[in-house]
Order: sequence, then C-alpha cells, then structure tokens
Amino acid sequence: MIRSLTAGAALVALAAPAHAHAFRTGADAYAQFLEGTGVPLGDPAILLGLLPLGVLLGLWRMDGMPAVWPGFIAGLMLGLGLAPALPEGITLVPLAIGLIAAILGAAALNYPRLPLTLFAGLTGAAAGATALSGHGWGELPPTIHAGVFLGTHLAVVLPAALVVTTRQAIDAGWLRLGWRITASWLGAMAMMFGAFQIAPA
Amino acid sequence: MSRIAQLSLVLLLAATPALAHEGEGIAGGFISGLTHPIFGWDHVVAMVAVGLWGAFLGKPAIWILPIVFPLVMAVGAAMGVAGIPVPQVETGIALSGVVLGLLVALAVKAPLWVASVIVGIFAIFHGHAHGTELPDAANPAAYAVGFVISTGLLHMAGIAFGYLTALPMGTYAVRAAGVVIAAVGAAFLAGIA
Repeated sequence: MIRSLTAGAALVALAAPAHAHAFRTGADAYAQFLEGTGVPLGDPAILLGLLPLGVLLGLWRMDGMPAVWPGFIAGLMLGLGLAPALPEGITLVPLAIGLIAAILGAAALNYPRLPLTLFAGLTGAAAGATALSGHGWGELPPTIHAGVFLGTHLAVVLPAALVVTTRQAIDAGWLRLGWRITASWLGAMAMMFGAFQIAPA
Repeated sequence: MSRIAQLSLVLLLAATPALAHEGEGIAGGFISGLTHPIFGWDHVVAMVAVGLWGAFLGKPAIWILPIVFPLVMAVGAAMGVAGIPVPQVETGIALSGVVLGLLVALAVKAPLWVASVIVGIFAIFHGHAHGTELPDAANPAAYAVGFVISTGLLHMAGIAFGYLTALPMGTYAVRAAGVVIAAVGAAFLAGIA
C-alpha cells in the first residue's frame, strides 16, 4: 500500500505537461488513478481553463456548481471519449475558455442557467479532451480516465466551494469584489500563458 | 539552543543570492514574474497611480480599474510574447506615469468608460514591455502567475493609500503622491531616469 502511494505520489509529482500526456505503463491501478488525477491539476493549460469556471459559478449563485453539474459532467465525458479523434496541441482551447469564464466571472452578471450549463459542458469537454489528447481509443486504462475525471472536478469544485463558503461566512460587498478581481487575475494568467504557448521559439 | 540561533542568524546574514538558479524552474519563474513589475520604477508608479485614481473616482471605478488593467495588460504581454510590435513602448510607459500622476494630482473625475479606456491603453504598453522581456529560463506558467499577482498587489497598494482620501488631510497626501508619480514619469520621458 505504502509503495503504491509512494509510486503514485512520485508519478503525480513528476508529471510534466506534454502535447500528449505521457502516461507511464506498468503502474498499478491506484498509481494510474493518481497519475490521471494529476494531469488536470498539473497542466497549467487545463488548470487555468478550469479554475475561472469555479470562481464564476461561486459568484453566479450559491448553488451555482450543482445547478450546472450535469452539463459539466456530460461535457467532460464527451471530451474524454472524443479525445483520440481530436488533434494534438489543443491546449489553447481550454485557455481561451478559461479566459471567457474569467471575464464572465469578473462581470458577475445574473446569467441565465441554460447558457451557463452549456458553457460548463464546453469547459469540461475541452479539459477532458486536452488531458487525453494524443492517445488512441483503448490505449489508456479506465483508472486513468477516472483519475482525470476526479482531477477535473477538483479544479472546478474546490474554487466554487471556496467562493461560496467565504460568501456564506462573510456577507460583504468587498468579498464579492475580491472574487471578481481574482477571476480577472486568473483570466490574465490564462491569456499570458496562452501567449507563451504560441510564442515563436 | 542560543548558540544555534546565533549561528543560524550569522549564516542567514552572510548568505548571498543564488545567482546560478536565477529565473529557472517554477520557483524561479514565479519570483521572476513577481519581481519584474516591481524592479522598474516607471511600472511601479503607473500601477500604483491606477489604484490612487480609482480611489478618487470612487465606486465602482476603484475596483473596475484594477480589473481592467491586468486583463488588458495581459493582452499587451501576449502581443509582446507573440512578437507583435507596438510602437514607442517605453515612451508610452513613461507617459502613463505623467498622465495618471496628473489625473491623481488634479483629482480629475472622469466617467468610468473614459477612465477604463485611458487605463487600458497604457496597460497595453506595460504588458508589451513585460512580455518581450520574459527571461528565457523562466517557467512560463509560474512567470504569468507571479507577474499578474505582483501587478494586482501594486494596484491594491495604490487603493490602500487612496483610502486616505477619507481623511480631511488625506486628499492632499494622495494628490501630492500624484505629483510625485507625474514627476517620475516625466523623468523617464526626458531620459534622465
């Protein structure tokens, strides 16, 4: 058990972003699961695409995450399933979506539920597809898919929960403004990182 | 215990910067991004001025300007990184200090959209300069995070100082800060700084 944990932790820590995330073969199921979890959390392109959505949902409504969750899950499943059919190097897509989410979060308007659900689905699809891009159907074990599923959720649910929890604890206008500023900063980070991705060497 | 503490203190004071690791890796990239806006006075005064002016304009400008500046600045940085040229970048940066400093010094009450456009235009110059000066060894993601946080904190410093306007004499202090900022900008514009 300890060896599995150690191996898993080492794999997560050593995971480096690549056009096709280079999953290691031969690890046991739990290590594979951890490795999959580490992909959305360790790749800045995916992470900066997901974090702003969490902030946006927390600012939108106190039940923002549960309200769009089915759409997010459907999109994520679609992205994971279609990843092999998509071209490599689509890291700009989640970053662009993250930038849009950041702007929507900074604006903090009263958005209708359906478009936001569709947007959450699009975000999930982009994250899932980017995490597994470059790998063929059946190439990766289901435990890796499950790990990516969890990691993608963590990157959205945790910031959403943080925003909602702080808003419930402190009912103040400055706190809401603080989260809106945070959203704009995440958008700026996504834009800069996207620029680094397309910069000429 | 006391000797260990004394020895530790001596070692800490004697420590020199690890130049060999400058800008490399995640930590190096973060520190590089964090310090990049701080090490240039022309950048610092302009970003603080944004916060000060926002304080004069009141709500919602006090919060909207610090949202506009980093976002538009990131556009400028993206242009710089992508190699898209922007003319007269250094002049624009120096001019931002002069203009924003004077706006604070004169306590100009501009409409929100006008203030956003002024701040946004200058943010392009600042972002472009930072984007083109990215150290080769810096981790891009960490650099972006540090860079945006640093810029935002400079705005916050300006806003915090700008809250002095709530005090009777505080307005004069903030306007005096505007004069200093304009002077710094003018020094850069004239090439004497």
